[in-house]
Amino acid sequence: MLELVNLHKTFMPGTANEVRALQGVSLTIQPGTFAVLIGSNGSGKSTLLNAVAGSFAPDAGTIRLNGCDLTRLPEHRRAARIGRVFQNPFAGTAAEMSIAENLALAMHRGKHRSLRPALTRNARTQMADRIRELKMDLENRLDNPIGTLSGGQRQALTLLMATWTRPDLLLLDEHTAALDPKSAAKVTALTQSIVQREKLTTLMVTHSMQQAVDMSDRIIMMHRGAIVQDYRDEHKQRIRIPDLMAAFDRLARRELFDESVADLLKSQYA
Amino acid sequence: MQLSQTKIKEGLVVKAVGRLDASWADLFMEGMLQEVRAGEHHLFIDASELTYVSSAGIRSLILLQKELFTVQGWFRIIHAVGMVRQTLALAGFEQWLLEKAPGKEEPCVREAVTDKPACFNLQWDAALSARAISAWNPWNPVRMDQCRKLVVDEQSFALGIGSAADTLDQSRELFGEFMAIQGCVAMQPPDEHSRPDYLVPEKSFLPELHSIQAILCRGAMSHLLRFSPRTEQPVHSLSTLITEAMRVTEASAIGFVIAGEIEGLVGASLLRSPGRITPETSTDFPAMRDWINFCGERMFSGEQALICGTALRNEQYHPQQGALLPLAEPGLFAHLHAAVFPYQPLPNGRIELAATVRRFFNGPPPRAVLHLLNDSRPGVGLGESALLRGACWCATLSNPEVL
Ligand SMILES: Nc1ncnc2c1ncn2[C@@H]1O[C@H](COP(=O)(O)OP(=O)(O)O)[C@@H](O)[C@H]1O
Ligand SMILES: [Mg+2]
Repeated sequence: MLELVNLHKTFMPGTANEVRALQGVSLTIQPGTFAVLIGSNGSGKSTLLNAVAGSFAPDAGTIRLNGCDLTRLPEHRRAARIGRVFQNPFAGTAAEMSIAENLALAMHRGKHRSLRPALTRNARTQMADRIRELKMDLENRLDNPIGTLSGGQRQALTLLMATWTRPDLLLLDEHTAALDPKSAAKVTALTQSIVQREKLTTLMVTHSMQQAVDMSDRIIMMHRGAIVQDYRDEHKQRIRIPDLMAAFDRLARRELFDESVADLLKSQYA
Repeated sequence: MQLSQTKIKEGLVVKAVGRLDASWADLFMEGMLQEVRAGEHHLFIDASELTYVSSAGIRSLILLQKELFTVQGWFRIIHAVGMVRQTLALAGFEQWLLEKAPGKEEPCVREAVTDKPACFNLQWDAALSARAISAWNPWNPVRMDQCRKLVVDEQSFALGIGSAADTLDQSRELFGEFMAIQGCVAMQPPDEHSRPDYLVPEKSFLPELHSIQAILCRGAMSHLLRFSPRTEQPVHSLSTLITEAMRVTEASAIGFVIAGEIEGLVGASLLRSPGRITPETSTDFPAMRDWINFCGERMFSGEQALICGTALRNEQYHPQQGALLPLAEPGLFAHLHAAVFPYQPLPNGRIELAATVRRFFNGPPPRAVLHLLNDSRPGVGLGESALLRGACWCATLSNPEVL
C-alpha cells in the first residue's frame, strides 16, 4: 500500500521562476491497485512520481510504502522496492551494455552492488525464458548491446527489468508516449499482462485517455499541483472518455471563473 | 460530390453531382441534414449528374428519410438515369423516384418562405397563474422549513432549484437546477460526476420535487411564435424573443416555453447543493468556484434547447426583492432555465407544446440543465443566450406580483 500524506514541493522557491509543483497531495493506493494519473502538462504528475521514487526529498509531507516511511530514504535505497519506467526509452537501460548484462543488474537490484555480476548459465536460461514472453525475437540476442534495439524493444526490456523481482510499487511515467503507435500498443499490452499477473500496485502517468479508461482501477486527475478528481470503485467503472473530457473542460472553465464572474453571479444568480 | 441548391415553390431542389458511395455518403448526408435544419422538409434530389450509387449511398438516403419522417417531411429523386435509376429500382426504392419533376423548377427567393415571422393564436383568453417558492436566498443557508413539494402536472411548467429524492432530508445534499414542462423534468445533480437526469410521467407516475426555489406557472398558452434566421436578424436573443412574445400577447408579464436550435447559451449551474451551506460556510470568491459552475464561453451551439421562464417589463422592478433578474434590454426582467438536448429537427408551422416536449424527453438524455444569465461584464462579457430558430409558446401572467 502506498500512502502519501500532504506532499509539498516547490522548485526554485523565492525566485521569479518559483513553481509550486506539489501543493499538498494526499493519496492512498491499496495493494494491487492499478492507478492512472492524468492531468495537463505541468500539473505535477512527474514531480509526484519523482517524489515517490526519491529523486528529491519533498519540502513537507510523508511517503509510506507498505507501512515503511520512505520520506527521507535516498533514491538508491528505494530502488529495491520500487520499479520505474520513464518516457524516454534511453533512460532506463545502459546502452553500451548487453541485454544480458542489463538484465543481470535488474536481477540483483537491491541485493548487492557489484556492477557486473557474474552471468551463470542458469541465469541466462532464465533470462531467455522471460524475454521469449515479450515475443520480440530478442531471446537469441542476449549479448547484443541494448543500444542496437528499437525504442519499443528497449521499453519492453526496461519494463521487464523494473518488475524482474516483484516490486512493492511500479511507477510508469508516460512510458509509451515516445513510441510509434504499434510499439506503444505492444508495450501497453505487456504492461497490462505483467501488472495483472503479478498483481502489482501501480501508478502510471499517461496522456492517453483511452489507456486511462481501459487499463486502470482508478483514475486520478491532477491540476496545478493538486488532485482535483479521483474516480475509483464503481465510479471508475462508469467513466468513459467523454466523462474525462468533460472533467478537463470543467477545469478549463474554472480557470475562467474570476472575480468578475463572482460579481456577475451576485446580480444574475438568485 | 458537389451539392447545389435551387429553391422552388414545392420545396428545395438539391442537385447532387458525382458518386454517392461510401467515400461521399457522409458529406452528402451532412449537406442534406443542414437543409433539414434550415427548415427545408420537402427535398428534391436532382440526380441527372449522379453517376453512381452504392449501398452506402442508399443507406444514407434511408437515414435521410427517417430524419425527414420525424418532421412529416420527405424527399424525392428526380432526373435519375442509368445505373442510379436501375440500382434504386432493383433495390426496391422506386417510391423515391419521381417521374415528373415538380413545377417548372422556377427559382424563387430562398428566404421568402422562412422570412415570415409566424404567429399562431392558440387560445385567445388563455392565461397563466404563477406561484413562487423561496426557501433559499443565495448564498445563505437554506431555510428547510420553507421548502415545498412541487408537482408539475400536465397543465404546468416550472423552473428552479430542487431535488427528486424521496424525502426532504435526502434532498438536502441533492438540490440542483431543474426545469419541468408538462410533467417532464430535466435536472442537473449538483456534483461534478453526475450527468443531467430526467423524469417522464408514465401511467399514474407524476414526478415530484422538493424545491428550495421555484417559479411554477399553471394554465394554457395563448400564442405560438415561430422564428428562424432572417437577413436583418440572423439570431434571436432571449430579450428579442421575450419582447416579441410580449408584443403578441399584449402583456407586460408573461410565462413561456421555448424550443429551438442554439446559437449559444450563457449560464451557470450548481456544483454543490445549497443544502450544505451552514452559517460558517464561505461561498465568497474563490470558494464560490466550488459551489457553482459558470459556462465561461457561449455553449452548445447547434444543439436544441428547451427553455422555460417568466418575464416582465417594469422599470420599477427590484430584482433583489424578487425572483427575476435583469436581461440585456433595460427594464426587462426574467428568470430562465434551459435543458440542452442533442439536435433533432422540429416540424414547421403550428406544433403542439406537449408533443414537442415529449419528443425531446423520449430521445437521448439532456446534456445539461442550466440557469441562464445575461453576462454584461464590460469587455469580456459573453452576452445573452440566443437561438437560431424554433418555437415559443407564451401567455400572459395573471398575477405577476408574486414574482
Ligand atoms: N527540476 C525542476 N526544476 C524546476 N522546475 C521543475 C522541475 N521539475 C518540474 N518542474 C516544474 O514543475 C511543474 C510540474 O512539472 P511536472 O511534474 O513535470 O508536470 P507533468 O508531469 O504533470 O507534466 C512544471 O511547471 C515544471 O516546469
Ligand atoms: Mg510529466
